[in-house]
Amino acid sequence: MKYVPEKGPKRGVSVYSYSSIWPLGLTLEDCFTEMQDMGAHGVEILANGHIDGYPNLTDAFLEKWHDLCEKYEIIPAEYGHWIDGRMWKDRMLTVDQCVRYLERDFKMAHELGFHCLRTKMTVINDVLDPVENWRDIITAASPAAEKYDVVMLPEIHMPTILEQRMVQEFVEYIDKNNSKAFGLNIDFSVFSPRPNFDGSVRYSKPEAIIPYLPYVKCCHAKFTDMVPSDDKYMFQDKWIPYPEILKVLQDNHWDGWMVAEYEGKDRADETALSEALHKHQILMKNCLGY
Amino acid sequence: MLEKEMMQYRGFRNTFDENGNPNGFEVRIRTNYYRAPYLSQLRVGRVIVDDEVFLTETGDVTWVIQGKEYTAAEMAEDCEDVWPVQEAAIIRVRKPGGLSQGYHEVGVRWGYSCSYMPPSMEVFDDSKEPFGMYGDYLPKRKMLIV
Repeated sequence: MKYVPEKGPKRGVSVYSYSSIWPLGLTLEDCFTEMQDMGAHGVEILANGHIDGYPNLTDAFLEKWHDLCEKYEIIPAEYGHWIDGRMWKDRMLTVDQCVRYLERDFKMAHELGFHCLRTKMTVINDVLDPVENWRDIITAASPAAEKYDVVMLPEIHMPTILEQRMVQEFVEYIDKNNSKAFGLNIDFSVFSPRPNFDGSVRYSKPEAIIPYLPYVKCCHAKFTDMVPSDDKYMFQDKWIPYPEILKVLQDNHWDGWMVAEYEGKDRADETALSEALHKHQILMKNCLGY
Repeated sequence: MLEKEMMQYRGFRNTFDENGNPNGFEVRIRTNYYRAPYLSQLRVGRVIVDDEVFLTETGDVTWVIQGKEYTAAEMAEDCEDVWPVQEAAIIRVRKPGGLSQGYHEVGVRWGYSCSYMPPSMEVFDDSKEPFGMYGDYLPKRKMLIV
């Protein structure tokens, strides 16, 4: 039976979850095999982590990629890349230089079949505010993004929460420019009451995402501690209220991929990693009903 | 396949000049970073063997990545080439006579810059003690040379 993506929130995995064992020689096929085991059909890759030959896209990789996606029924959900503003120790990338790097990623993402791009911007302070000229960079890159049919999504991630001014500014930019090239990626860490590095506790309630949903094109289903649960979910994340979040997404008819990002302390242990990924997919499957 | 430890046992050896005389040594390390930064984003520092220190500024330490050899100064400007996550880098150290037969504890100071993290977390400074996280490492391993 050929996989047809569901309308609504969909389960996926970010290859980032495998980061601790990936350098040892794990392959995309290893990851896709496990995703197929779990019925998680959407994949996020990190451009400069998982594409052989990056920053060039070779014919060999392109062919392998499309063959693997077909064989394992994997949909390219999100392409993770960066605007590495602090490229050198003593100077920043100019806007033109940023656009040159971005355009190379847009083209590569497009050829690999991605529409959503998790575009990490350069940050300037401890609450992760982006560089002051982020609007200039996004505006300058937007024609190329539209040409390659991709959308740049800054990731909203703890210690940032949805109530932070930055998120509102992103949305205002999209509205003002009627932008098709810019949106949001919400990392579920924004819903986590887990203390930040500095000991502070800041988090958003699941309902806080509702006004942003038209702008949210992809989510990072972050998790760190899976614990048993004596109910229909079988497992819960110790910090992030998955049933409430996924209910908000479903009730408000959000349609997109939630790619799993595991950041548990035990993730360098292969068995612990596979168990955690499976538990998390069971939890999401039991929330969604598929 | 790479080894779990950052310092790779495989690849630790003396190097020889065209007359067969030892003129230094090599050691391989793997990255623990989940992405492949451009070389200008890497931070390369001293190599320590037992109590002997080799500094990058002297030109005695070079890095070989994807078959190309770089000095620290060349890497600091290179914004086109990356260090792939699944490929070890060879650290080459010039030392007339090479290393003596037996055990040596070898350490390589290295790190990286992350534009997506707060600037306050850019902590790499080869003249200070390594932080051990946030892109500032000094992996060490005791290994035999033949």
